[in-house]
Amino acid sequence: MNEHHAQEVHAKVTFGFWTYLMTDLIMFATLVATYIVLHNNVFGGPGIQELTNLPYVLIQTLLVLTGAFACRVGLASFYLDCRKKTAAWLVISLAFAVAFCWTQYHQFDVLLDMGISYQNSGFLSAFFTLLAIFAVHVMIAIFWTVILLIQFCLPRFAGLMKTRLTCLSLFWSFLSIVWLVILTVVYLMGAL
Amino acid sequence: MMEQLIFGKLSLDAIPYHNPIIMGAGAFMALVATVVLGTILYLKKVKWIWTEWLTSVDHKKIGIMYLILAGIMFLRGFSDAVMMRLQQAMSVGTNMGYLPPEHYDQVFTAHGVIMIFFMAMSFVFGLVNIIVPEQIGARDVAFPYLNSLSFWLTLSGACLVMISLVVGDFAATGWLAYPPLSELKYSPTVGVDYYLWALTLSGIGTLIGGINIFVTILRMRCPGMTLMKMPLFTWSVLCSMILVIVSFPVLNITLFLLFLDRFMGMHFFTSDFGGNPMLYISLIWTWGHPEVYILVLPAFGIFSEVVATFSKKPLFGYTAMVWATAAITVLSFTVWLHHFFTMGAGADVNSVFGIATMIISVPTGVKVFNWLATMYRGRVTFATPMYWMIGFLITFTIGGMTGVLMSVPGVDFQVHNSVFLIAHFHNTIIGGVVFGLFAGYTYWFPKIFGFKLHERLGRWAFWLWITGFYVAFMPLYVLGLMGMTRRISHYSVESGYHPYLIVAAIGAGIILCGILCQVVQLVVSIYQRDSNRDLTGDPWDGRTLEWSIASPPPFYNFAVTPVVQERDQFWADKQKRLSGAAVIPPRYEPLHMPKNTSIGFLMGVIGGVFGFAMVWDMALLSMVSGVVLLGCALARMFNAHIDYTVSVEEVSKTEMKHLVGASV
Repeated sequence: MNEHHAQEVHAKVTFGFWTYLMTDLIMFATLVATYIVLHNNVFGGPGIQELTNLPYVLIQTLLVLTGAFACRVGLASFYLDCRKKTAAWLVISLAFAVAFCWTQYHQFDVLLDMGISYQNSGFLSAFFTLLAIFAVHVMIAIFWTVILLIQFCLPRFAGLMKTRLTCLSLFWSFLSIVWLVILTVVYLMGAL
Repeated sequence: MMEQLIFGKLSLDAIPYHNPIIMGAGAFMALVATVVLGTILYLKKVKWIWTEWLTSVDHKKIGIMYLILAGIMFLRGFSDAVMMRLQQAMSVGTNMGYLPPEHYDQVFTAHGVIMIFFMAMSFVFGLVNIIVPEQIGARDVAFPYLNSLSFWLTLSGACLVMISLVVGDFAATGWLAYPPLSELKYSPTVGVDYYLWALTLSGIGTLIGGINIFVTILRMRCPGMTLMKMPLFTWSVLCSMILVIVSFPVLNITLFLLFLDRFMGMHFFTSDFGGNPMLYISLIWTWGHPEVYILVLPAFGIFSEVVATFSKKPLFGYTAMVWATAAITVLSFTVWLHHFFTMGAGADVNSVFGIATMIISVPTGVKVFNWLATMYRGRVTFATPMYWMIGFLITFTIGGMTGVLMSVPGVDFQVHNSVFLIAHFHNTIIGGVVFGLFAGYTYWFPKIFGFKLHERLGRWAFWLWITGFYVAFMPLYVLGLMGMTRRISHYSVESGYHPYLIVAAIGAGIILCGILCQVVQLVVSIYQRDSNRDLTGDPWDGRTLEWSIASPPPFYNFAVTPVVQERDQFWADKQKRLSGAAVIPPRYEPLHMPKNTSIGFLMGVIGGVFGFAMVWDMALLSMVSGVVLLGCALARMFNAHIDYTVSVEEVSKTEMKHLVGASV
């Protein structure tokens, strides 16, 4: 009975979380559509071609994808009952997420220093907002991973870890998909 | 400096002392709040309110709170409507009416926002919350805590709108706050900020609620209830929640972008610096058009239940109904451009959207014929819900036809932004959504509270409502064709509008009488509740599972999870029992139920404080409330024990009480 109940809750929560991710996906779709509509409205300022540094974007892409991969491996180790490996892979995923957020901060910092601000044109508003909202999502992943690492050490959460790790891993997969869309639509289509 | 951090833009000047209408309304609100709070304190019910309501995660109680919110907001929204009708009936020629334009603009904005977001949405979510789990044989929704969070976020959004009446002002932009008018440059006061934060809070609440009900329906149906055996109300709610899930993220992010424009000086929708106001209008209608179907589909579902129950027949064409509902769900995303044919997208684009709009009337027509065919050769009982049903069929069909008229782009160019449009959408929303919700309210009231509503007063309310509706809105069709634009607060004598607007105002007065009837009906029904008690749990000889349990249902709904083989399972069970089949005594098992939590309530309240702080740029308060909000979420994450077990003894004790009551 209890085992059955736990299984039911797991299925319900992961499905519910997946549905939430779909709504988040639609939100990003709206942002990307907004970007596409506004990307030529540079109002005499710089366009996407001047802002794109493809090697930098490659590093960002690798950071996101590796972070997602590490989280997924952490989940796999959890299923294999290797507690230490799970924690280690979560820490690795955390490190990549932090590194990504730093690269995003650095990019904004450089642009703002050059006087290229989100207030300059419709294009820049869309550009900054899309990337900032993505970075906020990565930050949520960071906080979430930290919380899960703490709960991982507390025995009373033992029964909940499977569901929570699965959701985190889903979230990371979602982030990598969104990033690939941003990479394609914003950077590759813009620079090439 | 310190004052700036704490109070932001807020000062005592924000309260409009000199305006007697606003101060009167504020004083009335304060009076009602004091009376309610005083009664609670006097009866020493604070603890009861806290444990049984504020922290409750029971879907039925949350649903009831949604219904109360909808009722209050309905009265507020209707007051706005009466004010507009009076203003337009008065302000002709040299008479400027009693409302200055800037106040009149806020009134029509508040009317639209309140009626759609806080009246209709709350009403729909109230009924959905209570009825859907009972119809599918579930003990609660999928995520009970999120359900309470949804409600409290919606409530805090509604509170922001109410506060804006007395502190500061509300948006004067129309209910969708089109830029560039809603940009900081043209709306420098806090009105639009109130609008944005009220809608953001309630929008997040609705989105969470939509996900919750969607997962509930897909994951928590009782054994045997395949998708094609679901009651039609549940089907229509499923489709409606899919629309919520797909469209509300668009609303939330669009409002957020407008907020960035106003708060961070960005240029998404400004008319200079490369912004694009038409982008906002396109995005907001990507949400806005599905929104009308989010409201009307559950109403269709209610009518499907009502018509089958009161005709004593299974619904005609169940499969066709399901497919029609699904078709409307998909098509509702293909027509949003018909709200701005005059943008000038060109003949090709306009034709495509015009034809798509006409196509939507096909599945809707299928539904109308199915309802008619259900009544055909049925044994029709004329209880109040059936009156609303027939009133709906006629009124909604007229509204639908004027909609098809306007879907022709050439015609739309003539009547765009005229009161013809106002008449059309009130024709569909009052005739469809509001009548549907009233039918559902009367139909399920005995299930929710355990006693029936007064029948005769209900009929009076219906006749006053439908008469008032036609008297109030038919003149607007004529006025629209005469060229009267919407939202005007003054017009000349030569225009010839005046007689029609007087008739419309009389219509509003008749509707007011209908609403008074409903208020009296509620009071009288509560007063006479002992003579109208529903002891069987099945007052209307119903067909679906919600009627198989006690009224009001026990907190766990079903002591034993039902097993379903047919569409109208409860009806089939009753037939079997009549033919003398043996009733197997149930075997109870311990049940898992969610524990109450205060986090949903706290997050709602603090979310409201955060919204208020953001409206007034109170840096300190917004930071503190933001941190507390995160703290609440953290506290929830660190709570591992969120449910408990109900013992077999308690279940059988509760069930015995119902059985004894039903046999008396």
